[in-house]
Amino acid sequence: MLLKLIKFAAVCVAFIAGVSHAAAHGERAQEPYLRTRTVQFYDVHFSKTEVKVNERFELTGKFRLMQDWPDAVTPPDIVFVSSISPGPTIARIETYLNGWPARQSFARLELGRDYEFRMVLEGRTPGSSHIHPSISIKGSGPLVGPGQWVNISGEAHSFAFPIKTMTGLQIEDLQTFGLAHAVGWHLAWLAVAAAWLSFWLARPLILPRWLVLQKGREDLLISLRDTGAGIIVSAIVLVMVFGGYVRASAEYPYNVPLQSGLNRVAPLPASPAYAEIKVISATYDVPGRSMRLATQITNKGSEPLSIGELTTANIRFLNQSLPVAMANVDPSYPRDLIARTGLKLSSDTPINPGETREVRVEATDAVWELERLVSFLTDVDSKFGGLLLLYAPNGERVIAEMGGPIVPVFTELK
Amino acid sequence: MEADQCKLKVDSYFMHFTGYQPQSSRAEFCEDIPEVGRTIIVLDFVDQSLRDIPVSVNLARDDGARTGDTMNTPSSILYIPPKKYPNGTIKIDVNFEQAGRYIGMVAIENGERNVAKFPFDVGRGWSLIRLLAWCLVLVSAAIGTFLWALRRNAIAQNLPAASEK
Amino acid sequence: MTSTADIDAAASPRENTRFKDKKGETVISVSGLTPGAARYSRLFDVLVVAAVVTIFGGAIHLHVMLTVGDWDMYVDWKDRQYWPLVMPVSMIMFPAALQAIFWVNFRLPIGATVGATALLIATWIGRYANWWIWTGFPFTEGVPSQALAGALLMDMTLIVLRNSLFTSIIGGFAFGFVFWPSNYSALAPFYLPVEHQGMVASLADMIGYTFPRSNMPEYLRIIERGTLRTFGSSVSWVSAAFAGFICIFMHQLWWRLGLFASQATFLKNSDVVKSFMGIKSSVAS
Repeated sequence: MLLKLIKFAAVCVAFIAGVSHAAAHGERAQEPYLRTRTVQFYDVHFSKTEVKVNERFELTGKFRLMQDWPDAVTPPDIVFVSSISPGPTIARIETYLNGWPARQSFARLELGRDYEFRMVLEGRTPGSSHIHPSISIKGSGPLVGPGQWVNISGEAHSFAFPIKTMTGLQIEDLQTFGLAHAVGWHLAWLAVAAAWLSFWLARPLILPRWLVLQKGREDLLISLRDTGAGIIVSAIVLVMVFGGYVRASAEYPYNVPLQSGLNRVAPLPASPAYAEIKVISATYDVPGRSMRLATQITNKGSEPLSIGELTTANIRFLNQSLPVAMANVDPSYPRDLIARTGLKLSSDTPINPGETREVRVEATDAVWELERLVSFLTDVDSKFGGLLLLYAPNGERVIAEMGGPIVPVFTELK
Repeated sequence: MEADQCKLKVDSYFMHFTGYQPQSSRAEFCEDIPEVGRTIIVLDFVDQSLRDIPVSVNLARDDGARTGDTMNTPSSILYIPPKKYPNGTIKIDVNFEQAGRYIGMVAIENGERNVAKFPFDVGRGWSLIRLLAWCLVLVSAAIGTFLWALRRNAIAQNLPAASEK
Repeated sequence: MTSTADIDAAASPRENTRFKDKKGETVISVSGLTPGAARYSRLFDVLVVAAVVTIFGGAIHLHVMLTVGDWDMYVDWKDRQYWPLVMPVSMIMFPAALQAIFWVNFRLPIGATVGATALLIATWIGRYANWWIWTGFPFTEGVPSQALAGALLMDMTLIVLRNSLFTSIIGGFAFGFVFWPSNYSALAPFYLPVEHQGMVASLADMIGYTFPRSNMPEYLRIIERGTLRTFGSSVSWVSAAFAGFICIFMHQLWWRLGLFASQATFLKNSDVVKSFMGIKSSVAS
């Protein structure tokens, strides 16, 4: 018997372990136009990827809400900033959007502007968890940033979340506070119900009563004693209900209702639009896994600008011949989202102030397919979007949005 | 991508297999190729480590001979020697002139050679029209049988009644 | 001819002493069951109870999850306005139907209690197996509500008044009305105030925030939207009274549905089907 139990438990554990391993990359199921034309995350940094249970780490970064927001996606009128994790494997300690507390949702974020988020998280369940920053938009759902594996070590039962209430009560662990009280009440109600049910279940139940009822002998089925018992139980129930309520109100006089309401926050200061990008044509070579863009870039600033990076849906194609672009890659950024061979440009020299140049950009990598970003064939809105990051010689970075219709092709352009 | 059906395993690494026949349809094929002719087969590396390992590909007709781990066999119609693919994707442009069964072999030179084989059919596809036609035949047969049984039953029932009258 | 006394002796010994009325009759004796039949009917009772608790526990739990699942599931959905309103309106449906079936056919005033008990047991099993073992959420995030107080009052109303209409009006109203006070007693500690990042929050809000549910952004919660704001902090009692009012009609409707669904109907076989089965149809037609 014990052996059977052990085997069963082992199968269950193996099953659960197997399932938790696949708990990542659900965002790949979202449509490409959703992921490339709505929110672009950048400068995402994980302060640690190895933490212990109860140890804190931070997830910071920025995101841009694209100007060319798709029609099929609800505008960011109500937004919640959050982390995505496989359940509560990490605990949320604090979250901020542009420095404002982000426990509640935000109203009316602006398109074409940037926001900065900061999340303080704590390891809770041992194991490997894929953690992403995300913003959720009411009517559209979560839009997810780059995910990184965070390894949490230690014992699950050693996690505790102490908190002090405004009434001065020090709670040892938010995971268990108030549970005994609630379960106690439920058991009390179950005891009363059990008493009432046993009162009836002890007697012949189904067939005998049905037969007697057919013969019209109701007097045998419900006696005066039964009715009396009913009145007594009613009295007990009413005393428990209203007595319990009065006692609870007296014991907790400073209770507050659930808090709801939208915060408002200003976006980050807009940086001047030093670069303007027009996409003349965009094709995706389906079997070649290559996005090819013919662009026209105008430098409206006062410094020469070099193309450093093309990023969309958390994938990064870097101009590997530009050192300042390579230095912009955070060591904690997930490597499977950085294209190995980077960006290929038809023209590598800086674009001078006032100049408009036609540049052909090629981004080739299997990551387009692995991230399932190229079902342009089945998309209802065959447009793409992304950010182009350009750098001035003094290291200043210019972020420019680009996008437009994209056509899938099966042959290489010469 | 981890849980999809169209993947093959070489050593402990996974690759995703996709077939295209752009001249006949926009569909992606996994495993069998419906028509003969120009076909583009793409192998995407699911594991990042594969990008640093030389990979070779061999497509051959399945003539029943046991080829073992040998690549570039006599029945081979396309052989790509070992090469690294830092982009993580191999694009194979091949023309299948004959219908039949073929074997694809992918080998990685990771210290020792590991070969994965995937058999597939060309030109023996089940198209939707053919499937619908068969369904129509089956359903008609079922209806026909039912009507015949009903008719036979009606005749059988008429006889006793007729004899009573 | 077996005498009443013999039947009594053969049936459950308890029958002899406890449930005999002045005339010496018991339910078994009046029913006309033989001693052997009486034993089998007791076995039947046990099997039916086991089946009803299992099936209806699952069915009512599924029903509540599909209709008002978020409110039942999460401690940070249990607000003052919608939680006392929507939960009893959903939770009364199956208990009312069970009440009708048990009362009309067997004069058993236990239907609502059976429904509410089965629901509570099934809910806690779900919390333990799904939310704790499977996904690791703390129990405090998923403390459920109970409908036992209202269900018990509904059954008591039925046995005292013995009339389905008055049970709807009084018992149904009671079911809706006592949901809020009976559950507030159990959940009051979760509304203690805390300060978090310079803002006030209840412990329930903190629990929902600290142990994240990726699929549930905060804005999905329906917290006191609407025009009951003039009632200030008494909004819960207004919701409770309105819930009671709706439950009156819910009770009547589901009482009737319960009776409709528990009829036994027989369909005659047609001659064609009979001939397929090889059964000769009856001669006279």
